[in-house]
Amino acid sequence: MGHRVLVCDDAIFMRTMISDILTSAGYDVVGEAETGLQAIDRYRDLKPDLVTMDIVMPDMGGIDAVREILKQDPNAKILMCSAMGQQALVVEAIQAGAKDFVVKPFQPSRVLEAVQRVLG
Amino acid sequence: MDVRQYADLFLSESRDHLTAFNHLLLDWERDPTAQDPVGGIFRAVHTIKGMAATMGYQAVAELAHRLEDLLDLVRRGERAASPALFDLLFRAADALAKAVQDAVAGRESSAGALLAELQKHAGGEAVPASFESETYDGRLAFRIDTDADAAQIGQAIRTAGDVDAVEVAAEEAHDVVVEAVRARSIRVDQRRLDQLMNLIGELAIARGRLRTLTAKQDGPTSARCRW
Repeated sequence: MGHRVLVCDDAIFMRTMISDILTSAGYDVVGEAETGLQAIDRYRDLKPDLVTMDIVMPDMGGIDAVREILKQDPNAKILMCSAMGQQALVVEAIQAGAKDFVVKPFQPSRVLEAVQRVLG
Repeated sequence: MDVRQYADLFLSESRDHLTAFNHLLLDWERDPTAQDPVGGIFRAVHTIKGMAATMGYQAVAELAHRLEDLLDLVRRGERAASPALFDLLFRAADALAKAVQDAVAGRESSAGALLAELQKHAGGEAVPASFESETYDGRLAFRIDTDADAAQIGQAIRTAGDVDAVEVAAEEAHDVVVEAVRARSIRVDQRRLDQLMNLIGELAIARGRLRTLTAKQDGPTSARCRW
């Protein structure tokens, strides 16, 4: 049984790519979200094993969404997806409770390593 | 992972973001004090950058990156939303759209001048020109290609502003082989020398600033900003 994953990013391009990487490694992408607010709602509905979360999103950003999700579920496992040069945001995200991060542009092997680390 | 399978997706996503970029820019231009458009434009450019980097489209990623830097400064209130800025942003949006198309089609892309301009706007502080400084000795020198004689030139300059003395020296116009250079020489009507003086003044200011800026930086940057 594959782990269930929620993919959050405002770009279809990114969601597609991440989903493909995860699916071809045997994970089950059960849902997607385009904004922080959607991420919170989908998390509540789907209770995934893992969330991949983009840092920069419209409406509500990734870091705020991390905080809200952790309020709902302190055991939530969230993997941040950041772009180069966003170290400060990544640190903030980890302090907010995200477990790990990967940097765009993605290398599938790095993504999968990080996912395995977070799932433990 | 072969990213080429995502090229169509990259193209359609980028087009959406570029459309948003242009719409927001128009909105913002109508009301330069509005805060929302900048954030939206920043995110659109940021997203294009991320996708381009993933696809290996370096030219697009670099252009988007420079644009992002400038937009970030504007977002934080460190650059004013002036007409010059809007003009630059509209041109940057066009350049970004072209870079995206070139990248997907596998064409070489070059936005060199625009990149330098974006960097100048992002990296430039208001540096005083040489003649704004305390040590300026009050002399301004320039060359002008004209049919007017020394007396006419001298007269025009003396009446152009706060001028103490004028020295006019004649120089043989050089015979140049290149067509383009020959095309650059013009007949100057004496009356137009006034206007020309103003423009030359502005040019001197810009040149002085640029010189000072490139003198402060070394390496790749000053190599690109060769004036």
